Amino acid sequence: MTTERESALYALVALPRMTPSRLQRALHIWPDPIDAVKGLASGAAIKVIGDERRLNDEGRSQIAAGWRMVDVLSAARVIKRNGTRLRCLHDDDWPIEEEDTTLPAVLLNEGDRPCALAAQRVAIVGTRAASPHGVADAHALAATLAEAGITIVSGLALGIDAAAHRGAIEAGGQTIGVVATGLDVTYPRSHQSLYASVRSRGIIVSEHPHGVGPRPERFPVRNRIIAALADVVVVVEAASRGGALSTAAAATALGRPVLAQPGSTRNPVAAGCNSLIADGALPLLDASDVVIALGMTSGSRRAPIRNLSAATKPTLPADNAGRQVMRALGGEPASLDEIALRTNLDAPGIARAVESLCTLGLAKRVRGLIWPL
Amino acid sequence: MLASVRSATLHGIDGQLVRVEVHVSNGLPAYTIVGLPDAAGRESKDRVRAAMISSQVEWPLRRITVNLAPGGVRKSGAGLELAVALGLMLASDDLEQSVLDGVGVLGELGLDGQVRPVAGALALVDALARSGVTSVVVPSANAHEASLIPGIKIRCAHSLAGVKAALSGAEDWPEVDAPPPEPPSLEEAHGCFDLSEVRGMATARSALRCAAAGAHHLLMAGPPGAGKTMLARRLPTIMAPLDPDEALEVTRIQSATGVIPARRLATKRPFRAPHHSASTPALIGGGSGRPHPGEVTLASSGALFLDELGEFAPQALDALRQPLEERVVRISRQACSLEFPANFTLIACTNPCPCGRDPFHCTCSDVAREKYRRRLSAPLLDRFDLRLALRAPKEIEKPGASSAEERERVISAVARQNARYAGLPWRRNAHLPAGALARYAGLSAEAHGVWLNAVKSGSLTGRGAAAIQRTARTLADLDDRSEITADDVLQASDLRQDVP
Repeated sequence: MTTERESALYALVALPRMTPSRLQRALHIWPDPIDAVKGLASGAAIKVIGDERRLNDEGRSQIAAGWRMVDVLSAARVIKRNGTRLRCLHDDDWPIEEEDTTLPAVLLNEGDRPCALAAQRVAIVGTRAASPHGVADAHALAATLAEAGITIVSGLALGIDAAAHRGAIEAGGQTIGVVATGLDVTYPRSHQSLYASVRSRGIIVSEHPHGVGPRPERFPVRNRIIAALADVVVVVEAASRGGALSTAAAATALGRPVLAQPGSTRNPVAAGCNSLIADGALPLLDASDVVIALGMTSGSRRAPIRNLSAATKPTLPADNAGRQVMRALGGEPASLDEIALRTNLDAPGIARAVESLCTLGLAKRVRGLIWPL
Repeated sequence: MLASVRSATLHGIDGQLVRVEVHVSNGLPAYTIVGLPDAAGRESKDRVRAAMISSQVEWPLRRITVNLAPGGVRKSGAGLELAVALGLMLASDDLEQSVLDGVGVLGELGLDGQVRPVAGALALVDALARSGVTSVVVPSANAHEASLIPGIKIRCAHSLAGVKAALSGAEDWPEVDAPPPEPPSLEEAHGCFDLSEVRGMATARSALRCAAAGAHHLLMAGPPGAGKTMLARRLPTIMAPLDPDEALEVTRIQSATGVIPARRLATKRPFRAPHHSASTPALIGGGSGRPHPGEVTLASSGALFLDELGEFAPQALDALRQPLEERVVRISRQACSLEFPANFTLIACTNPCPCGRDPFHCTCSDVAREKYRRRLSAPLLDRFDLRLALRAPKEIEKPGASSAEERERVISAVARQNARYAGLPWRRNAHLPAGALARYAGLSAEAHGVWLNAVKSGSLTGRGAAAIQRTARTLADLDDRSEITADDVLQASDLRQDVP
């Protein structure tokens, strides 16, 4: 792909009132983006938007006038300055197999490892309000898969997304961050350093030109790109409504396998995953389930399930109070008052037991709740 | 002809002595008032004239000059009118010059000659008493309040005519009205609130007890329905009663802000709950003209309850930092600089985010949540010794101890602190300066180990580490122990959670 071609693509993406479906139609009319730019500059916008019934003549002429100004030179400047690469659906290395009018026709990416798109890709997504368990699980799963050479795709959001990216990066693997803004916008702003490390260990991908800010309606649209870019979608933790479920729905629509990590019915951030499983998603018990879903092993039978409790809780507290508290927690977070109700320990006794559990690394205090680890 | 009468005006919440000088001379009839009176003071001319005529006293048709000395201090309010009227009578020989020697005069006049009450009588009489005045004429409505100041004779004034008659010896001074009825008992005063209505929530109860006993500031964060406001509203029911010095100060502040009905010493600790639309001057004090005490001063010796802390204006909250630390508010204006007491316990509630739901069902965007959290600055959060994340209770529990039982424990813990800090500039554990921690809140070797652990494991600031030590001191006091154990330190660090 030549730079001239990419400049032309960027010029098309950056046009005012350009949408993914208009872009797709334009690239079907002129398979070469350079021809498309020439066509629009000479006023042929009507070929693209002529069929749109929601537009009146005035709207059409406004858009056509805007598109006449298509500016390849400034587009070339922007992509040169930012090191942006662009692909469109006619390219040989276009990462999305399906042809669908709701899917993007052009993707922008920036980052040091465009080869991340060449490997098998697993999306790990979930709630932003993740529990410490969910963060740890997403991190560990991403690390295991990344070590096996699988690229981890996620959305650079708080919570599960961030944990997945970090797991992949810390395991030395590759990761792709799909964002709902322009590639020069960092959202949330606290993820500045995560953005930088995803750029150096993979790429960040967007369908928007630079400067586009976060808008609530852009996130579900972004989720559909995550689903399209992944071979398998894993939902680690999700509440009964939220973005992760829209990713799963998009993946199902595209025929991608969806895996969800089951959880207690008392855990609000497990509700979304449990309902996905009830609707037919595959339960995720460990990383081998993902490998099977990817078709990377010959057998369809999974390895015997490890004794999870033995694996995650290597040492049991020696003292009676510590065991009582662990039993009272029952694998779920609880407040000190709830522990007091479920044991016959007094307040100082509980404080001592919790302190020793925290020192042993068996529990963690987060915002007034005690989480068993 | 010249006369001068002693009176006083309010300056902040303190009395400022004023000498009312009246000069009556020959010339065209005129009335001039000089000496920086405010608008109410300038209007007083017509009230004084009407009151004198209604009281069958002749208005001198001569050139009258009234001077309020010292001339450089702004005088506020109408409380000098009785003094002006009596000064006029002295200057025009309606009264003997000597009848007001060593007498202070306070009171506002009605057009019919009635003497109306003034704000801040307690502070005004106090200032007069300190200046060597032996008796003071006060409006009858202020007589009880004024008699709280020892060593000064209170003369009760109903009307200008009555005062004239009493001063000239024609009549006796009227008796002070019958003493007001007994104040309601603490239980009645708190209405229907009682801590026994709070089921379970042992941790929150313990925090509330610490706040009441050790004057630690308390922040509660949690979704609606978690019981934050319910707990906070019950804090006054477990606070120790005011001791005499505190009672005098509370009464003085209330009197200065014009809360007249308090006819005896305050017995209840103040509990102020301003709405979150409160402006910075409303919270801290200030305003144009005479600076007024704010909510922090009105809550002094008691509690200031800020519900929905995140909804307050960020500037107003950050202005709280200095009074939280120093327990006084300094208001500086071009003309004056005032210091108000602000020795309050802050108790605050907040939702974790704008939608208020628990984190798993929250619908707020990251930016909205971050913005909400950033409204509470880290320095402000750091000043809360006690910080709790509450969740809506799921399990039904037994009702806990009543307010009366909890108050017993608080009272004995307060008594322990009073004994320990006798003669020192602070009285409660929360106010222990960092330098005195080792002496008054020393930790045993075991407790020190636990404390070090908490400091290392958590992201504690220096202030946070000291806060844990102070809270541990209060927990030991509540248990009636002089040494601080490892358990106290553990519980103290459990009461300081990373919220919101």
